[in-house]
Amino acid sequence: MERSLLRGTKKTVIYVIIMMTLITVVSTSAVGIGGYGGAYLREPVGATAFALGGAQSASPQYLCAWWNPAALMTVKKKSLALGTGYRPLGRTEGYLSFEFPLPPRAAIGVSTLYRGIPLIKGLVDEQEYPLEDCAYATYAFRMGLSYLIKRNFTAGLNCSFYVQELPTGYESGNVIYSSATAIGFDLGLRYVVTKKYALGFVMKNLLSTFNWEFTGDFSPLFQDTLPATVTLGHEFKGSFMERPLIWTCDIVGYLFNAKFRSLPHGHVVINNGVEWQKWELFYVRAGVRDVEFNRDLFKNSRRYKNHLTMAITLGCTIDLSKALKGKDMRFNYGISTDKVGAGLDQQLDFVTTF
Amino acid sequence: MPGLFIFCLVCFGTAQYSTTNELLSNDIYWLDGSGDTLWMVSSKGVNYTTSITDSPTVIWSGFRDFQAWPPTYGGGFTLIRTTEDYNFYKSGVPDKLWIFNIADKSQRFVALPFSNPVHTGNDTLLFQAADAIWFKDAFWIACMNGGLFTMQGQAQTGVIFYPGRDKVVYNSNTFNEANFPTFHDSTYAISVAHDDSLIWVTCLQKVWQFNPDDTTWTTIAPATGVTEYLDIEVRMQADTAVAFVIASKNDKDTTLFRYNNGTNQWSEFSALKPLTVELSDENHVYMIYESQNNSNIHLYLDTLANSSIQTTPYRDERAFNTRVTDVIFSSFIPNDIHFATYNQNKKIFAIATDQGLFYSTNAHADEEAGTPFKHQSRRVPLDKGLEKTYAIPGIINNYLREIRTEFAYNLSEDDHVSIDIYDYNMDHVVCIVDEVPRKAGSSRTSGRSTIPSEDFWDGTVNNNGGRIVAPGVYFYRIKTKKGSRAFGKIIVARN
Repeated sequence: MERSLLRGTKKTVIYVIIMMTLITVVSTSAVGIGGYGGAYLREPVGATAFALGGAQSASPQYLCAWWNPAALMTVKKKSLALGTGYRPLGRTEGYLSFEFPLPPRAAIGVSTLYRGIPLIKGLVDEQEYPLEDCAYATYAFRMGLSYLIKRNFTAGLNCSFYVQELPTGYESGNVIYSSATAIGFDLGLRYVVTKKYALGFVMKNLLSTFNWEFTGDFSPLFQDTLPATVTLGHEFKGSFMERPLIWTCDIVGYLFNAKFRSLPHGHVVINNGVEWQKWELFYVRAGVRDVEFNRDLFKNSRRYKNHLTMAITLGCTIDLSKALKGKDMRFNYGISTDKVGAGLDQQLDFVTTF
Repeated sequence: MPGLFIFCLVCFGTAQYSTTNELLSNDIYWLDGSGDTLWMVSSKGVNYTTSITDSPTVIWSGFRDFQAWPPTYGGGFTLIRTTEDYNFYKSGVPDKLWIFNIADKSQRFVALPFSNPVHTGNDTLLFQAADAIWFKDAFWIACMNGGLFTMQGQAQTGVIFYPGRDKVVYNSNTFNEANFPTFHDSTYAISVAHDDSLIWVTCLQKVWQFNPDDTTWTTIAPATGVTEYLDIEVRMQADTAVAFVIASKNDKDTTLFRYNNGTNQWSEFSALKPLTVELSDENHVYMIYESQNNSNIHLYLDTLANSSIQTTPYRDERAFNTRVTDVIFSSFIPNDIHFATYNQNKKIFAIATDQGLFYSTNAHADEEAGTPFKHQSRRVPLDKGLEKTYAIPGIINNYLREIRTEFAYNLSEDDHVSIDIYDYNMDHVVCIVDEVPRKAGSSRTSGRSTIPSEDFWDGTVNNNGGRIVAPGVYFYRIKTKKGSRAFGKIIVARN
């Protein structure tokens, strides 16, 4: 009786996901998400999530505050993560996360992320005179709280503080910088359907608006309201060749902005990843990230094919827990294509629990 | 010669400006020249060429990094008023004379003896050089509160005449502010011009005529209602000197006046607000006037018979726009205009703009169906094969008036090109061009395969004035059908 109920629930959930995906895809614009604010926040954070194609909203293994604050309740011990990344065209990043449980019904996570281009060379002014080397820097500080509502149902809330510093002008070859700050909120839910199946629902970047003040007197104020994202994710734990296999999937919708106004060009991407724990000390991962779906898929397949971009991801984990008895330590690595052929994105991090 | 006193210049040495063989800037302020020589003053220094003919190849020389005022040319010499402070926005007015001999490239740097402001009670007397002409084998420099200073080419000495005065002597050894006349609007020299025999000097409240042969000063009858005379140009028409004066009435907007020296009559044409006036051949008068957000060129036809100035059939900038759109996409701001004869007595008509120099040698500027202007602009040569590409400028910013950026690239062979813009996450923003044909770069195009009217981005999601992208770093990708690729960065700070 119980099994048939669970099976029925699973079928219903999968049916809903498929229907939502199709409806969203058909109704979204052919124009992508490019050009909206907060682009630097869209890249996955954490080598594990990175290697899984950015599909981690249902059951993130660490950096839960980034993916789904409701998943902080999965943290049973204190967890510390430290990582770095490099992307083509000079983009670098670093992140730090600390998460801990507050038994019996809560957990907290704090994290910080730097992303930017520390050395921008080769810019010229309108006379083709070289500008001095400059840098683009962003910082994000996030704190998340999770609360256990029911045995298999948790909710979470993030509060984030964002800073950007950008070269915005020049005079006599010297670059002039402007900076902007924003505060944003994320809401998350997590529902454990069965031991093998979990769902996550996250709304990100709510109320996030950067207020820029550029150099000069030509209406220098600019409000950059980030697009809010609605993510529906799932994690399925199965097996392959008698070894654990995890399949994760996130459907990310960019349908309205942080102030709940509909975006001019709604947009959906789908991320997928699998993790195969072939060996106890060594896991492998693969994924496909940022697969864009829009109405061109049905109406103009040639254009859809020409502009279809996606990233192929791979990764692995070296789990030293078994080798170092009593100490939980993992090294994670992820590598990915960058969607435009400029090179490979990479992330490497270290995670320990204690 | 009565009334003339020779004095030694305070400073007379070699110029300190570094030379260059490239066009310094596209933001050109002033022009002057004669023969095949054209001088330009820009925001980055001074350029000149001696090859401004029909040839498409113009060889530029120049002097970089100093702030200059309009050049004056004559006798193989060029006089440019400069200031030592390069920063245009911090500098005051010109206080140095820089004289260049084109034939032997020799330079002289002259500091006027009275170039520093003198404070007298509530007034500050300015003695800087305001304007200059070449006349009777000498430079004549109108100096604010300093009279009319003359020097021959690169001579070691000079002479000063003071409007309306006799035998006013200034000597560097006995320089004393008490020697200067009290500040007066009728002696405050602003601009200088000449006809066949006289030098005309405008002061704030008077127009003077100076006879260099007998060193006498006379004034002409004032124009009705004028409170300040500013710029002046003079030419001979049927043995009569005619002066064109920019003046303001009741301290309001400027107006163009015309004075007939034969009939001693003023006439006024007040439709627009002139900034500069330039005389061309065949009685045409070109005027740059201030419009709402820009400056424009206006053409008049001057007729001596009825002492009036008439609007020509092509009365505004449209005549020019039809001839510049082949070489430039966006509108330009004319800063100065210039006519000069060059070989075979042809005329060169040149326009200094904020986007380079336009010039024509084979037709009058006002002919709507005339051939396109030649365009000279600063373009750094690029290597072939997409080795180096630029977005010009690299930062799109309203304040800098740079609301679009142009992609400069050089193909090694003819190919089809696609240009796309991506944001920080490499999400596609906009396709600029999609597999469009482009020629290989050549020396004639400074190694550019770029078509400026197509290969640009305005910082919007549709490249046509749509939604402006969020501030941030963006990436462009230039891709050819034969497989070459190049990436670069653009920073958008538009609003």
